[in-house]
Amino acid sequence: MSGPKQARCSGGDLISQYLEAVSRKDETAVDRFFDPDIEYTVNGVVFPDPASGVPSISPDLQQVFPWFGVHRGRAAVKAFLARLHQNLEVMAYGPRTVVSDGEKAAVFGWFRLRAL
Amino acid sequence: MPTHLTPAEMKDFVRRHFEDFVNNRRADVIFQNMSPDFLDHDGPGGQPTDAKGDEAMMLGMYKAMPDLHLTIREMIAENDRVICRNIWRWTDPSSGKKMQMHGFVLWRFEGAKIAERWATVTPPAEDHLTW
Repeated sequence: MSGPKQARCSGGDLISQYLEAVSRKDETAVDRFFDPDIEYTVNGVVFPDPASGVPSISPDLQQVFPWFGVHRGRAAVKAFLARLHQNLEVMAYGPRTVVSDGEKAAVFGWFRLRAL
Repeated sequence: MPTHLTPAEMKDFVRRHFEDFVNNRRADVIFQNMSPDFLDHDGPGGQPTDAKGDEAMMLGMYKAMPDLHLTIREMIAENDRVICRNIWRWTDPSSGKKMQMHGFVLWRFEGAKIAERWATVTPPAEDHLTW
């Protein structure tokens, strides 16, 4: 994360700003909002760590949806988002509830997507 | 109506609700823990329902998944809302396979009760982890 403006934001504000940026396909979002060691999990992992409690997905599922799984580091997340943006366009998104508590934040909402 | 509960009290409330409603098989607690006009936006089949609809869903799950057990992995709270990340585990009676699904639930409180629920779950999958 960089910039004095973001440093003053709550976790919830950061999540909201990140989602806005991603919806606009803002290519700077990853560098602006994520730590260099970001671990970004989509849906689940093929070999889950029992301690993490992250959902397991089958190897077959990951083969069909290769972007499922863990993306480690900014470069991997950028590659994931680039792939996503090549295939999907955000048409609309709606009511988002962001809850932030200490170092954690979560968001509930929906996206309407169009395949490209 | 806002809630007068603190974030810590709301978390305790949700923890007790899950323990009774799922793990202790006390479906009736939903009528104590939810407000009279409780709305579940994501009830059975993804359709909105009320406390009675959720009670019926859980009674069906007790039968279909006799050893169903829910573990709360994370919980965060702010203002009148709580979000949980849960793991549901059970044994499929027909195959004997250990199964699991993961869920996120958002609760909104009014007064000292839960007034609204939103939820999303992963599809059930075989659980390869040690219980």
